[in-house]
Amino acid sequence: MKNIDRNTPNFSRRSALQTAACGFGSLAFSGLFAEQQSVNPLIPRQPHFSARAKRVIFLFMRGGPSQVDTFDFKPELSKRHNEDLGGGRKYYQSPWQFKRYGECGLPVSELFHHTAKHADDLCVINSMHTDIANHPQAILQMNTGSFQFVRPSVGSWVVYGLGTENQSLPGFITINPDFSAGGARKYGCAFLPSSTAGTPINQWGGGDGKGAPTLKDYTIPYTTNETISKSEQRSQLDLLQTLNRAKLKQDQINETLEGVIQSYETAFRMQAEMPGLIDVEKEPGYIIDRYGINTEITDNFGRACLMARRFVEKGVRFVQLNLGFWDQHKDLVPGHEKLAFASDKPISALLTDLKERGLLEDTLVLWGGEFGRPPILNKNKGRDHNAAGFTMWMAGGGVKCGLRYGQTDPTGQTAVSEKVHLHDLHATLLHLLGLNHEQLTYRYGGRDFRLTDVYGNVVHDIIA
Amino acid sequence: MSRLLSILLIAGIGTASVTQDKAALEFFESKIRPVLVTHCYECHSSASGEIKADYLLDTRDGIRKGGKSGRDALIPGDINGSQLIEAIRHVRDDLKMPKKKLPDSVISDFEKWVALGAPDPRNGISKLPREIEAESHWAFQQVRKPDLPNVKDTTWPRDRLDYFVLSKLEENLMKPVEDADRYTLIRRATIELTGLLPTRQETDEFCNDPADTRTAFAKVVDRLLADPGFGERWGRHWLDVARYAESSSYSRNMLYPYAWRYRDWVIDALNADLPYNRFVRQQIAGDLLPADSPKQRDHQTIATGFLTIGPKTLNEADPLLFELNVADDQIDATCRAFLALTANCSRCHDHKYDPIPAQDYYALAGIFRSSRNLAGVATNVRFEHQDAFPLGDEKEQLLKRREAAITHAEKVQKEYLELVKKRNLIREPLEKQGLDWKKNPTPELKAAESVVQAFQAKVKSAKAAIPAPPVYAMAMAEAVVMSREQWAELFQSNKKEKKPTTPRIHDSPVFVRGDHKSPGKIVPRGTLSLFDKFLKFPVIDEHQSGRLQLANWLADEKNPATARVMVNRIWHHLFGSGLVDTVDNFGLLGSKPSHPELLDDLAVRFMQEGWSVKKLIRHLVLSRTWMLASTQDPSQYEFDPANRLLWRFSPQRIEGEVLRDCLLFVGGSLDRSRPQTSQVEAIANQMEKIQQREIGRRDYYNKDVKTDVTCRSVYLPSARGAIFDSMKLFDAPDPNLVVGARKNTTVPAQALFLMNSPLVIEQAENIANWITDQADTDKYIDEIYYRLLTRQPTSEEVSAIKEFLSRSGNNRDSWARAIHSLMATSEFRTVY
Repeated sequence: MKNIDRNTPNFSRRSALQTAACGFGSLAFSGLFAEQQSVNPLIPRQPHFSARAKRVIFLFMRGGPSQVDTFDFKPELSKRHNEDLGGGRKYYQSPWQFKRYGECGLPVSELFHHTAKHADDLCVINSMHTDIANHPQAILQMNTGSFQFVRPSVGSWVVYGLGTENQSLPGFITINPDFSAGGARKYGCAFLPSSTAGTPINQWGGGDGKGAPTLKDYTIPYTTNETISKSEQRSQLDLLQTLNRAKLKQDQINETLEGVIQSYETAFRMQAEMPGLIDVEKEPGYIIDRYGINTEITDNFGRACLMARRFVEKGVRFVQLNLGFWDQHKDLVPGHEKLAFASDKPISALLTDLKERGLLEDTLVLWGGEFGRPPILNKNKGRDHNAAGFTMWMAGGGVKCGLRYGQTDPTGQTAVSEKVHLHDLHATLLHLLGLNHEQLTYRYGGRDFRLTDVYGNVVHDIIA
Repeated sequence: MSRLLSILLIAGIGTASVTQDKAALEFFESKIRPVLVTHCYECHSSASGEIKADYLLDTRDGIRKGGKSGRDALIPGDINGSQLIEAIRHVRDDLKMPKKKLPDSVISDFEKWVALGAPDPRNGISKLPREIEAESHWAFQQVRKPDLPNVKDTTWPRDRLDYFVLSKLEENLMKPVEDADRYTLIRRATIELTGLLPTRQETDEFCNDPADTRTAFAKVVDRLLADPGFGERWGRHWLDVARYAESSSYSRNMLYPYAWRYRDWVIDALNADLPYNRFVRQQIAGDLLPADSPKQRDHQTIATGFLTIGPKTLNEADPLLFELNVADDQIDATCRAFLALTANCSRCHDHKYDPIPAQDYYALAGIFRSSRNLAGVATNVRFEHQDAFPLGDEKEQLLKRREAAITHAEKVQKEYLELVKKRNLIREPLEKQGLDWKKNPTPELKAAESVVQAFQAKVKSAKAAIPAPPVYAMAMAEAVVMSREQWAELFQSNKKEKKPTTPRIHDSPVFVRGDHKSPGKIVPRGTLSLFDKFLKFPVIDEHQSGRLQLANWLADEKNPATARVMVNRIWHHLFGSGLVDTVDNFGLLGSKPSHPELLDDLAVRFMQEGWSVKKLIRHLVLSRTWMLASTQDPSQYEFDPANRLLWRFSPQRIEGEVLRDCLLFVGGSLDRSRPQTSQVEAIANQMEKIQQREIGRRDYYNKDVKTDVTCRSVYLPSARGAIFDSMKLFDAPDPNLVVGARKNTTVPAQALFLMNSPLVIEQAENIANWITDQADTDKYIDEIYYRLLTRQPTSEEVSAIKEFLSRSGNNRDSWARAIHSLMATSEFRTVY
């Protein structure tokens, strides 16, 4: 309670909490949680101002997809095609055809011809740029705002700011996160309350010891207990809660214990709800087909996308999907095709599905990698790293539809006009959620921290 | 504060310096001062409500020094170099002052004035309000022994500390609750001091002791302080502060195979009650302290692992930035752990709140940049920390012998290959002729073959003669003394071979705005200047890094922070919250102490009793305050809900480590012996090449970690980002940060773990297996309550459990489930 002199004890926490019932939001942002961690940080809260988006689905394309081969059409590049740059490097036009889609005529490469059907819902930002063209740092910066220091992830900040709507589920879920490049820090909460951390689903390259990720047979840890039936467990839980409540009666006032009692009920619901929720095969056949589930190449990401839809539908605040590795220094064509084919249909299905359910209006979908790739082919028929310009797109959640915002130079290498830095993207994302990125702060070790550090400008031009 | 301000203002209107030309001063008075007063003072003087950009231009000192940007605002004689002129000219978009541009004639007056050397009669030093506040900030004052306060109820206090507590309570018309009963006390003390639960026998012994409670309890406390579990419990507290972990975190998460020796050093130091001032000194400069034996030298050197177990950006391509990041972690860890100061805020600019200028930060950076990190970790990008510190009496000879033997073996191998080549030269023509030399070797070939065969034994024995490498630790060492040129040459020549480069002893420049590409002025190696008035830092010899001086400075009795910070950390662990509740920040943004005199009294006592951690803990736990019950009192709660005034014992939640240890302990599964190494070292050794020891790379590490171990949690492998669920779910600290006070969250994931984890289920079943007669419910319910909760069950509890048992068959399984429920209760993981 930094705003109250902690040396004046004649302040009642109870009355603070009673006030909180009406104005929790303002208390939360002044750092209340730094002090009162027995309060459940997941309780839904009002944003700073009225929000355009209520939840986020972040399709994180780790490794960095090439913009000139996906969403940044560069006709000029063909004129310089094969222009030698020395060292076996040359300008190289996209090996994939672009077509214009939708009423807005958005040019999209054939790699994403399914997603392109939603052209009139997309807001493509061609002028993204970031600080470092090196995966581990850039991935951390994309996910936490900082490549140098340990900071909370974007999802944790959002859950810290808004809480979550379904107390039976985590507020932040990340699907198929990998263990490398910062590991759990990509969805970690650093100094924020630990319940704001992302709950990983099918973390790979670690933990369970399995190799390539597959969601098909995935189960959530500690939600199953083969030694006991559900009804037996319920009666065991009843005994436990009787003992807890007896203790509470004895303690008279014990907020922590009240929290524990609450958490058992939530956990019991979560263990009932989560396994069913991640079992996407419960969906009708046409939905399963739409996402490409049970077709080898699209199965895994299709499941991830469908899970994401099921999660947001049930009130999860922030869902992140991780797909990679788009890092084709060698053999651009097969590498990019494999990943685009794996994700294009599922992403398109997700947008269709959200729209059909009226969810797209207030769900922000965000697609992109930690950086992009240059319009240059190296001697290994691949493209290297490029932080000076890349593309991300958004859909739903109050962004302008059918917009192509910002530009790279005629070759597609460097963002030149209406540039959007990563920090600006973060500021805009929070803004769409009704959060002022300068006010969403948390005090740790004597300093107020925020997602955008001292940077970030909201890109108002892309907001509808 | 306002009085201080006015004194400063008066000082500001002092007499003109005689050296300044009278006409020039007149020019200032007529052309400059009125403009400053009219257009600038509103936001940039000591009298301003809010001082913009930290820029005070109401004194000569202030107008020249500048503000936030860190650049000099006015350089006498240099018009174009002066930011002030830049600002009033409105040439920079981000710097236009005042908002409404001054008339051109006024601007040219200012230019003229600067060209004249900016004569300015306004003496005095400009200080920002927060600078003035900092001067009187409690934590920056010397520790003074206070008088014992008066109390009305003189029969209540037992220890000195009780007087301070009671006096504050009486002042607020409050009173302490009753004393805790013996059951509560033994459970509380056993968990807090050793992280385990009392056995039935220990409980009975204490509860039946005819001596008065305090005398009987003192015996218990002494037994617990002597238990090896003490170091394991309190060592873990320090490891949180030391951001201990066994890998590098960040983008390339490389294993630290030898970190565990530092962990064991901490545990041993606490068990041996190593005086805290020595505990501090050894962690900063153990390698440089006098030692009676090589063994002691090794032991002290292991302590410096503190500095190099932090996270490292091992994928950083820029060696300078890497070096600065390492120094930053070391500055942060040192200042936060020992001084509770956030000095690393000054990496980019002077500290915004505390009197820590960037210059001080880079004085410290110079010390750490002049030291070598012997960490035993490297990637293909960064290899400066590749060497580790070899241990053992004859390690130098051993390393020499080993090197010689390796060279010899390589030579023999080369000779062998020559012989093979020779033989093949004989073979080739035969092959070309289509002769089957295998079946019908020529005599020449036969002879060559036998030479090769004979030599194979030689190769084998040469390889076998290589002595095993010494064992290693992570540690620090002094860098070398050499000129910048020599060093650059060495660095260049080493770069090709990717061998570690040795840093040189040198002073660091300030890096402007923390940008490693903008070196500013060079500052001599040193420390924070904020305690200069009590404790002068010595000049560092050019052959020394300065770590030794830093160690001594930290451990000096005149250092106002060191004792206070540690006393407060100990208080925090025993009472659940520090007297200063921001245990890692005593700066201006930290909290004020709830009992400032008590904090000082304890700090003095701590130092006078030889910095003994065990003695201090003994005083605290035998105080009447600590021995209070945790009984709730709604009216006092309403007044002081956080129990800052200590009217009762605050119930505390146990940490994930203690939870796991206690579960294993009550289930009879805990292995209390100390592992002789860490799993991490064994896993690291699977990879011959140091660059391959990366967590997650082809699933390395994760598939290798054994999770079904039953040692105490402090010994579990603890790579960054890959800690055990039982800790991760229960607020384990992030080992990238100094964490003196853990979080205490309540989330459903914890409940899921307690409901469904095999760890809990198995231990409950273990206990159920001891029950020989399931029908004897009263006896066993009683017994289980003693084991798990150290108390008798209430009749309500007995009937609830009996009802559950009878409904679920009253068999082994139903007992196991009932016991499981008890393990999952809030009470099991709470210290009352």
